[in-house]
Order: sequence, then structure tokens, then C-alpha cells
Amino acid sequence: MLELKNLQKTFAKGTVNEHIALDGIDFTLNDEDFVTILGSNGAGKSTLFNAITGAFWPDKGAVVLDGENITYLPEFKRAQKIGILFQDPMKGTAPDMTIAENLALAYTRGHRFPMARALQKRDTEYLRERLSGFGMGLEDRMKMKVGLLSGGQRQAMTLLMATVANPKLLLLDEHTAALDPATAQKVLAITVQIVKEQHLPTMMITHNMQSALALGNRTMMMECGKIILDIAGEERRNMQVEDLLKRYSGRQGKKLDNDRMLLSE
Amino acid sequence: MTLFLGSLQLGLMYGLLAMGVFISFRILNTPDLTAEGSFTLGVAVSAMVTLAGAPYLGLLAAFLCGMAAGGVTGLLQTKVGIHPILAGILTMSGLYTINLAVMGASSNVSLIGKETLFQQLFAKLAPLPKDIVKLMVGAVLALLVLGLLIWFFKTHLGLCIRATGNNEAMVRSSSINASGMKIMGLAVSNGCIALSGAIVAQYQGYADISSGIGILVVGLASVIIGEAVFGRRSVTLGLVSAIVGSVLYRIIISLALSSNVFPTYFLKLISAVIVAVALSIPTLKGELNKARIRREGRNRA
Repeated sequence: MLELKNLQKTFAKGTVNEHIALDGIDFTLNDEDFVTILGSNGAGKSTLFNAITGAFWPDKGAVVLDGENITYLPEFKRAQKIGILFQDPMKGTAPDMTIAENLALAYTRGHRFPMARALQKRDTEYLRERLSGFGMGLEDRMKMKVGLLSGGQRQAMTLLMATVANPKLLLLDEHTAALDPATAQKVLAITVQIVKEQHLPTMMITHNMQSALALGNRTMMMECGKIILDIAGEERRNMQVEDLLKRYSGRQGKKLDNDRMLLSE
Repeated sequence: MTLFLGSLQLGLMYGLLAMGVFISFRILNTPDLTAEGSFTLGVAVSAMVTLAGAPYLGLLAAFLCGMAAGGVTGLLQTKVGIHPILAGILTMSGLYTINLAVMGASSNVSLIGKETLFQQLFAKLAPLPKDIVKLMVGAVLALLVLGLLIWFFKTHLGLCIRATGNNEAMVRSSSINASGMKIMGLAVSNGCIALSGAIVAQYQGYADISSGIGILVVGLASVIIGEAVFGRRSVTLGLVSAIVGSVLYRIIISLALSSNVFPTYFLKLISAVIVAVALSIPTLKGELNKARIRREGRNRA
């Protein structure tokens, strides 16, 4: 369970460029939750993720994961419990290392004896098996350098790397936005499958309203560093993209110039 | 023949330097200028410990001191966030004083007539010619360190260091301490470089405060020549090619110097030119390729 308590973050405080990125976020992600997050650019979605992963610290408030306050824990220490995927497929893998080496690194997650052999047969077999479940043919190329793979293949690999060590939280920051529609569908399908199998509490940022409502069990919307909408259950089931849009602009108290803009990918 | 034998001896001993440079330059992906100071540190420590009567311990002490020097550069890079090149320059500059202090405030220490490990082995392996013994020492040391490094970069720790040089963001999100890995990598790199200086000092029979000047270029030249022969593939192959490159470099240099075209003091300029030319090849190839495309395109039009 992830609890965010009154998270606040202001960038460039005291200058003309002052920007309130997080404005008192209170949020609880339950263990069975798969929440999709919507919001325009600059709404604070990625900032929220950064505060959770520790890329920077919030000015105020607390991040509590499974009862442990991790607000000021170094990034690499909390990474053991948090898997994250970014939009850029290049970010999550080491291009000059082989598929097997990349996966082994993620699988052992720093708790292997430093002088032990990095690639152990049993691990490699297990990882190969997991890869074969993706149906991308990656399992036959374990010794290939990751830099030679396509974006979709790299993102699928990164997904496995982020989840293989059984984290307590999965963060997806528009992880299919840079992929072609067919590959994006495939990576999304793999995502859903992994989340289901491992019962992973998941937060997914997306700009696609359709999939925001179709995937997961909960949807929230951010604007100006605040959560302006948080729906689940009946309310969410009855929600249409059109309603969502109306609600969006309604809560903002201003009509968007072009609602259609938000509907497209 | 003597020319070739001498190149082989030196090439193997400087092969340790080449492997150290390979670690920082190719694996960690940072040009580390600490090398200039840590090589001399190895020379100085090895000479002084040999003078005290323990030539083998001199090698070990040099290796550890080199690691410490690399560690300092690593700390400056990661914990205080100084630019990698500047961090190396700072350590190198500071080491100049430390090296002088190690050598008892003198810029030159002679080991002539002292019990270096070569002298001890000449006596022990008496019937063998001295040149063969020297070659054996170089080969054993280079192969030993090569074997250890190949093993090291296949361990979990080694893999983490490689990943840090390759994609730091990914390493941090895999719960690996990227700063720690950089420090560790630079320590191992400079340990090897100092060890190279240590054995060279005992081989040539003196320590000199200026031994390290231009040594990074020598290491880079070796790495690049090795890559020209073997290509850039795995880390294991990279380490092997660093040693081979070091030997080839020595042969090239001794040929250039023995041809009497260049006086000895041209050494560093020749090294620098080799590195500059080798590093510019990919760009030049690209430009030539562009010129060809343009020419053919015009002809067709």
C-alpha cells in the first residue's frame, strides 16, 4: 500500500518562474489498485512519480510505502521496492550489455553477494522462460546486445526488468507513448498480464482517455499539482470519455479551446 | 630481435596501464586523468618499498595506493559533483606533491644495485637469460591481472560497474548505488595503472617524478590500437585487446625511433598523433561516405 500525505513541491521558489508542481497531494493506493492517471502537460503527474521514486524530495509531506516512510530514502535504496518505466525505451536498459546481463541485473536487484557470478544458469533459464511468454522471440537472443533491439522489444524487456524482482509498486510513465499502435497494444497487454499475475499495485500515466477508462480499476486526473478527480467502481464504469472531458473542463471552471485535442493520442 | 623482445617486455608491463585505461575510458565511459598521477604514484611507492627490501610488497602497496587515488577521484566526481575531467585533474595535481613526498622530496630515486624483484629472479633462475626472465615477469603479471579482471567483470559487482558506465539512470532504478560503482570502477582502474608503474620502476631501475607525463595518451593509444585489431565487442575481448594493443604500440614506437627518422624526444608527439588519428577515423569515414553519396547522387541526376 502506498500513502502520499500532503505532498508539496515548488520549483524555482522565490523567482518569477516559480511553479507549484505538487499542491498538497493526499492519496492512498490500495494493494489491489491499478490506477490510471490523466492530466495535461505540466499537471504534476511526472513530478508525483519523481517524488515517489526519490529522483527529488518533496518540500513537504510524506511518502509511505507498506508502512515505511521512504520520503528521504536514497533513490537506489527504494528502487528495490519500486519498478518504473518511462516513455523513452532507451532509458530502462543498458544498450551495450546483452539481454541476459540486463535481466540478471534487474532480477538480483543488488542483494546478491557482490563477488558471485552475475549470470547464473538457473536465473538465466527462469528469465528466458519469462521472456518467451511475451511472444517476441527475445528468448532466443539472450546473448544479443540490447542496443540492437527495437523500441517495443526494449520496452517489453524493461517491463520485465521492472517487475521481475517482485516490487511493491509499479509506476508507468506513458510507457507506450513512443511505440507504434500495434506494439503499444502488445506492451499494454503484457503489462496487464504481469500486473494481474503478480498482484502489483500500479499507477499508470497516460494521455489516452480510452485506455485510461478501460484499464485498471481506478482513474484519477491531475491539474495544477492537485488531484481533481478520483473515481472507481460504479461511477467509473458509467463514465464515458465524453463525460470525463465534461467533468475535466467543468471542474476547471473553464472551457478548453479544443476538447478533441485531449481525445487523440 | 632485441627490438622486438624489448617491445614485448615493455608492452606487457604497460599492458596493465592499458587495461586500467580501458576500464575508465570504455567501461566507465569517462576519460580519467588521474592516470598521470597514479602511474607515478605506483612508480614511487614501488621504488621506496623496494629500497626498504620488499620488492613484491612494493607491487601490492602500489596497487592499493593507486586504488586509493582512483577512489579520491571517484568521490570528487560523485559525492561532490565535480566534472569528471576536472576531478581527475585535481587528483593528478595533488598527487604530484604526494609522489614527491613518497620519494623523500627528491625527484629521482635510483634502484641500481638494489634488490628489485628482477634481480632476485635473475639469481633464482640463474641459467635463464635475463631478457627471458624479464619477459616472463611481464607475461605472468599481465596474464594474472587479465584473468582477475575478466573474472571480476563477470561477477555481480563487475556487471553493476559496467551497467553504470552504460546507462546510469537504469542502474539507479535497479537499486544499484551508481556513485559507489563509479568509485569502485575508478579505484580498480587506477590500481592497475599504479601496478603498471610499479613494475616499470623496478624494470628500469629508477623512479622519476615525471614518469606519468603523457601516460594517459600511451594507455589510450594502446586501447585504440587493440580495438583496431579486434574490434569493439565484449569486455573480455576488450581487456585482451588492450594488452595486445600495448605490445603493438611499443613495436610501432620502437620502429619509429630506431629508423632514426625521429629523435627519442618525439615519443609523446607520435603517441598523441596516433591517438588523434585513430579517434578521428569514424568521423572521417562518415565524411568520406557523405562525399561519395553526394557525388553519386549528382551523377545520377
